[in-house]
This record gives sequence, structure tokens and C-alpha cells, in this order.
Amino acid sequence: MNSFEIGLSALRASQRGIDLAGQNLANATTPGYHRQSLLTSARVVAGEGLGVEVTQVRRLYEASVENALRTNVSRSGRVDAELTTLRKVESLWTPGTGTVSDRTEQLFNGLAQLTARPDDVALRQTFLSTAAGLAGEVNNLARSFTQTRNDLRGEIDDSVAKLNAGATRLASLNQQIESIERVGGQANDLRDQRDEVIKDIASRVDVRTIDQPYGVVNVIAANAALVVGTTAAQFQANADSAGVLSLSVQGATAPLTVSEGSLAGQLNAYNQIVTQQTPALDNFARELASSIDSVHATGLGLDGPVTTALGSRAVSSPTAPLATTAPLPVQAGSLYLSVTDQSTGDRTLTQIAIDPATQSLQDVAAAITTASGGQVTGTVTSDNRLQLQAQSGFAFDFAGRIPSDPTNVMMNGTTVPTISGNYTGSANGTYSVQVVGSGTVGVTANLRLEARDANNNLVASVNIGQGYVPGTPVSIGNGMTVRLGAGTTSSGSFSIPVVANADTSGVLAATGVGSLFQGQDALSLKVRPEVMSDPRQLAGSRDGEPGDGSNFARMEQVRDQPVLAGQTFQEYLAGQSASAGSAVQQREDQQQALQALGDRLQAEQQSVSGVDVNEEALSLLQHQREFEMAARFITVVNSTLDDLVNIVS
Amino acid sequence: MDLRITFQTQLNRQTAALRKQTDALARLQQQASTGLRVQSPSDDPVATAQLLRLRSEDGRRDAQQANGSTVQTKLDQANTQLLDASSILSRAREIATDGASDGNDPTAFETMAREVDGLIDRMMTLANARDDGKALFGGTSTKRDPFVVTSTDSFGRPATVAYQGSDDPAAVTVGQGQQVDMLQPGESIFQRPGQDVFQALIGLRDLLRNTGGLPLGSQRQALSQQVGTLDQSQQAILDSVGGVSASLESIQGINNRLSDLKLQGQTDISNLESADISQVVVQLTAQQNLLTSTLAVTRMSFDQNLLDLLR
Repeated sequence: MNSFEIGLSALRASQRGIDLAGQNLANATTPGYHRQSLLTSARVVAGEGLGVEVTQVRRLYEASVENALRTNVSRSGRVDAELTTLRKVESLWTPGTGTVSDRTEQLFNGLAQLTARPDDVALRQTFLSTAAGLAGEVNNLARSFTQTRNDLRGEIDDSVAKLNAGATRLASLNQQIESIERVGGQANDLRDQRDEVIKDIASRVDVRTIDQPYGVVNVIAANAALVVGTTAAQFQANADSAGVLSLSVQGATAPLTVSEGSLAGQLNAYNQIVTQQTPALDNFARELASSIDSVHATGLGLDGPVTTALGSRAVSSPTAPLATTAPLPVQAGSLYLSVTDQSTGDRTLTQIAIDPATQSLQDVAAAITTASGGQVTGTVTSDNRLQLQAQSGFAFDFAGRIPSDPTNVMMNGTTVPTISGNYTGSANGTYSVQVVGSGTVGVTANLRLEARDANNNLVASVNIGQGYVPGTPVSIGNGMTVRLGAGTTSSGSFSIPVVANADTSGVLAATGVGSLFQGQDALSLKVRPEVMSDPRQLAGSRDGEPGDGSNFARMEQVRDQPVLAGQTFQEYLAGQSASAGSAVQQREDQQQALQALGDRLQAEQQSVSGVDVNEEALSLLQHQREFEMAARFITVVNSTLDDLVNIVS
Repeated sequence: MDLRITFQTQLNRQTAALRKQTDALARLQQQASTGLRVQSPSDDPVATAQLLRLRSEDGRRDAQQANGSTVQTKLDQANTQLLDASSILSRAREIATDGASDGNDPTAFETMAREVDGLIDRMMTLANARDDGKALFGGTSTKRDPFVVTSTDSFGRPATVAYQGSDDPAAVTVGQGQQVDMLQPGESIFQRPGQDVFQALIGLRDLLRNTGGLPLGSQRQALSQQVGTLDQSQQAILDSVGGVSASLESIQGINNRLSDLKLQGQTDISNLESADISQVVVQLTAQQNLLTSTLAVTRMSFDQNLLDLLR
């Protein structure tokens, strides 16, 4: 009689069912837990039914959904990591009070105000504070980008360490699962734990799994074998000579291609997103310094020409061509040096050709010495900076003012021409002034003076004959006036060199002679200390008079010039902010899409593998009833046997 | 087949819904408390760039308006001085006319000459007038006096006056690409060729004192001619007054235009960055109600399950 055996098997099966319902309920909210169900079948021995047996505890697992979820986790990891960095970058570029964009506007507004009050020292001091504030904010922004990059490096190392720890744990779980399943056991809970580890790895790098016998899983991460059977590889993050950070397998040098996961995002943020910000800011700082300094260097401070000047920017080699050694770009052009005799006030203007392809800093220094006839000596300091020193009794500047006396004077008579004014034209060149007719200035009828520009265009034709009072000024256009003293002339002529831009080569800005700023990148930009401590050195004038703010006006006009790849400073900064904002917006959209997809996949995964407490309650009731039925069956069998025993006894 | 809805599924869904609603509520609360729609570039990258441009233009207009105000003050001062100069020349003309009149007693000429001495001094003072310590008629040369007496007669009275200021006017930016000459070179006002104010006054004084030793008739004739010279000098001053008035009118026009542009710019800024508060409040209320109902539903969905029925 097998009834007891049958009853006992039913009791065992229902007890197992109750246990499993309990296990499912207990792990209803355990992350990664997959519900398990009991598979039973009739127990048959020698063709005869002998109750029930548990054939399998099934782990409900849908591989396609799980793989899709893992891919989603990887993608989300990349987007989240990029978004985190992009939000930092966005906040750094966000315009607001005290930011680079705000202070840039203040700088140019300050210059505009100085055109109305150019000799107001207090206003000059305020402007310098604004300029220093802008430079300081540019420095802070550069430091913030560097700090963000350094922080990312730490996060990447931390992430790699966790990935390696996960790989080690995964190999260990493979070993445990194999040892159980090789002998016919089921390691469902260990498989759940391993899936969680794989999920964690997938959140860091893109992974692929390959099933092996006895429940073992090999994991391919970033297209490299991370875990093979019970052996785990270790990854490392290394920077190459260019500073580009990449992931590689320890002991190998080939960089891995990480396409998804937080490490992909962090590496992209480190190598691209943050790294691109520093050159963008350097570009801004360099162009700001270059464009403002090139104007500032060709102006005059409240004390007029100087007797000495020391460049604030060093070249990398004093003997190699400037094209390869100058910290800021130099192009072939001309430099106009004015030398003033301090005792007489007489001023000369000399043109010096600059060719960065052939001239070194030493060559430029020598050219200045030669061109000035030794009245200004150019030297190169031991730290490769240009130094200019005027001979005693002389002073110099690069404002390009017209000289005291006209050149090439051939009046063919006794009248003496004098020139004055401040050239307001837009092109460098030479004005030719020709007397039309012969006779006595102020007396002879039809005696005229004609002025022509460098292109031989007639720009002025004025009477100097009858009706002209000798010595009185007559305008020949573009801010210049001519006076002719009493006397005679016969078709006389003279020339006036005119300069709109006294440094078409940019050599002054590149060497920092007479500059407002020093430094050539975002980290080193600052207001030159000599100007900062003496606002009178701020070069706002072109004619050397205290009420002249024309050089301030020229500096202010820089704000409308497309100096940064066709953009103004304001457009460039707005572009950086908008670009950072767009990148954040794009990643937020991606994040939302991935989140929605993840929610759907999660629901699908839960639909298959999730624990439904109601289901488990019913299962509990079912197994409870089974147990009661089995117990009743055994009672009946026992009662039947009792009856049989009573008959026998 | 319908999806099995598990406890965890419910939890995930409710969590996701609450997260979204809390996030939306926080954004709306921020908009309501700051009144701003665009808080960071990612809120609206295009608007961020536009806002930067508009704010830049707004700041620039502030600076230009401040400059316009400074220029206006200087030009007002210059105008006052030039009108004084014109009245001095009018008085000089009266004196010259009186002197030229046959009915006038020549013994009064010295008294008239003394008055002209005073007029010359007054003319020198106003030609060298300063505002805020800066010469009004020296062009860009604001520090030193624009006019200086270069020679005197035997009594120490001015004989010649020379201009030592700058030939360049001090130009000031008052609008985009617009500059106005704030400080004119005095030579082009007081010492134009043939219209030298000082020469006209000194000439009148010397005629009254008859330093040339002319007979009375010739002296009166010369005084009569001097009226014409004074008229020409006064015309130069009045021309300059006209020029200054035109500049003042131009400044006023530019300032009005700047005010209009500033108002329009601020309206554009407000339209771009400001939140529609009434809309935000309505959305905020709706979002709060949604959150409240979601919380209630969440509580209800976790309240009931079959386990409660197992006894």
C-alpha cells in the first residue's frame, strides 16, 4: 500500500509551494528578484502512480526584455553622466550679474562713458576695476572648467574601480552557480544576484552576455572580455600624451571603445564636453586681449608719450621668427613710431616694416633702434620681453600722430607751412599738398592749396591767396589743418604722412608693449599692474590732450567687430550659453525618452518576473488547501487501516 | 494578453508619476516666485541668446544716455557763455556806434575805452570758461586756458590774444555710430579768420583811445567801420550759438530715440524672459490638484490586497 507515500508526497509538495509563496512575498520589492513558481508532476514508479513530485522551481525570466532593459540602463548611464557635466557647463556659461558676459558689457559701456569724461581719473579707476573684474571672472571660469575636468577624472577612476569590483564579484557568482547547477541544483537566487551585478556593470559600460553551460555567463564589456567563466579581467583609465583619457584592459595598451554607460558619458564629458570649453574661453580671452591691446597700445595716456616701455608678453625665443614664437598673432605690416623732442615739442613719425616670417623679437628691437636713429633703443630682456628706452630728452609713442612738420617740403619760396590736427581718416598713407599757382600768400589772387590722399583723390582745395590771412588754419579734411606763413611760393608742395592704425602688424599687442591686459589665455589674463596702479596710463587719447577720448571710442568700437570667427564678443558668449543650453536640452529630451522606454520595459519585466501579492496570496491558499487535503487523505487512509485492524483484531 | 500588474509595477508607476509632477510643480513654483520663465539657457537657448543681445543693447543705451547728458550739460554751459559773448559784442557795438556819432563828446571816449577794457576782460574770462574744471573752448585740450594774452601795450593792457588750445573737438559717443562734438576748439569760435573777437574789441579800445593819432573825423569814421568788424565777430559767435543749439537739438533727438529704443528693448526682454503669472498660477493650481489626487490614489492602491482577506 502506497497511500501514505502518496499523502506524504502531497504534503511535501504543498509545503514547498507554501515556502515558495512566502519567498516570493518576502522578495516582492527586492531589486532584481525574479518570481519563482513550482512545477510539479505525477510521481511514477514502475508504471504506477506514487503521488506528486516537485520537478523544478522555475525562475520566471524573459531574456529579450532583460537584455532590452540592460541596454536601456547603459544608454541612460551615458546620457545621465553627460547631462550631469553639461549642467555644470551650462551653469558656468549662464549669463547673469557678475558673469563674463555681464562684465564684458560693463567693460565696453565703461569705455563709452570714458569718451565723455576721458580725463576723469576716478572714472578711469572705475573702468580699470571693471577690466580687472572681467579678467578675474575669466580666470575663475577657466579654473572652474579645470576643476570640473579634475572632478571628472576622479569620478572616472571611481567608476572603473566599481566596475572592476563588479567583474570580480560576477566571476565569483559564476563559480557558485556552476558548482550548484553542475550537480543538478538550481541557483535561482544567485542568478538574480548576478543579474544585478551585470546591470550595475551595464550602467557603466555597454555589455553583452554569452550563456555557457551550467548557468555560467561570460560578459563582454566595451567589446572586451570582462568576465570569462570564473576569471575576471580588470579595466583601467589612462590618458595618452595628448591628455585624451580612454579605457583599456589592465596589461594592454589598446584603448577600448566605450559606446554606452556612465563611463562612456564621463569619458565623452572629460575628452570633449569640458575640454572644448577651455579653448573656447582661451579664444575669447586671447581675442579680447589682442583686440583691445592693439588699440590701447596705439593711444596716449594722460601724461603723453613715454620714455620707457616694457612688454608684458614674452616670446618663446628671442632669435626665432615671431610667427612661431609670439604669444599672440603677428602679421606682416607696419609699426609707426613717434619720437618727441621734450625740449622743443617737435615730433617725428617713422614707419617700421614688420615681417613675422623673417623677424625675431631681437630683429624688431634692432629695427626700432635703427628707425629712430638711436633716440629709442629696443632690447630684449633676459625673460624674452621687448624693452624700449628713449634717449634722455626724448619720449616716444605709437599713436601715429602726424609729425610736427610736413615732409618733402619744396615751397620754392619764403612761406613756411605748418600742420596740425589729428588724422581721422581710415587708411594709412601720405597726403600730398600742392600749391596751385605762384605768388604771395594772402595777396596773390587765385593762389590755392590742393590736398590729395594716398590714392590721389582730391580731398581739399583751399584759398591761400587774396583774402587769406597768413598763419590762420585752413582745413584739408579728416581732422587736419594747414597754416601758411607770410611769404611767397611757386607751385610749392609738401607731404603729410597720415596714420589711422599705427600698428597694422599687431606686434605691440603680441609683445604687450603699452597693453591694457597681460597674459594670452583665460587663466593668465589680467590687467597690466602698471596701468592698474596708475589710471593716468590708460591710453584713451590719440592727440595727447586730456579732453580727447578718441582712443576710448576706438576701443569701444571693438565690441561691434566680428573678431571671433565672424562673431562679436557678445554674440560669441551668447553662442556659448545657447550651445550649452541646447546640449542640456537635447540630453534632457534623450533622458526623458529613455526614462519612458525604461518604464515600459520595467513594466514588461515585472509582468513576467514581478511578484504579484494577490497571486501569491491565492497560491498560498491553494497550497494550504492542498496541504489540508493531503492531511485529510492520510487521516482517511489511517481510518481505513484502523477499520481493517479492528476486523482482524 | 494584458500585462500582469504587480506591486512593484504599481510602485514604479506611482514613483515615476510623483517624480514628474513634483518636478513640474517645482518649475512652476520657481516661475511664480521669480516671475521669470527663462532661468537657465536650457529653458530656452534661443531666448537666452536674444536676451543677452537685448540686455547688452540696454546697457549700451544707458551709457549713451549718460554721455548724452554729459554732452548736454557742456553744450548748455557753452551756449550760456556764447550768449554772454554776444551780449558783450552788442554792448561794444553800441559803444562804437556812440563813438562814431557826431553828437558825442570826444572827452567821453576814455570812459568808453575803460568800459571796453572791462568787456575785453569779460570776453577773456568767458572764452577761458570752465565746467567741472575743464576748459569749454579748448577742444580736447581741457587743462590749460585756451586763450592767452601774448602781448600788452605800454599800460599792460592786452594787445594780442592767441589760441593755445587743441584744433580737435572732443567728440563723444552718444548713440550707435553717432558722435557729437562736446568741446569745440575756441579758435573756430573766437578767432576765425577775419572774425577775431579779441582783435575787434582791442581795435575798438585803441580807436577810442586814438592810439593811432587820427583826427577826430577820421577817428569817428574808423569807429563807424569798427561797428562792421564787431558785427562780423558777433556773427561768428552767433554762428557758433546756432551750431551749439543744433547739437543740443540733435542730442535731444538722440536721447528721445534712445528712450524709445530702451523702452522697446525692455518690453522685448520682459516678453522673452517673464513668465505669464496668471497662466503660471492656474497651472500651479492644476498641478497641485494632480499631485494631491496622485498621492491619494497611491495610498488607496496600496491599501487593499488579497492578503488582508486571509484569516
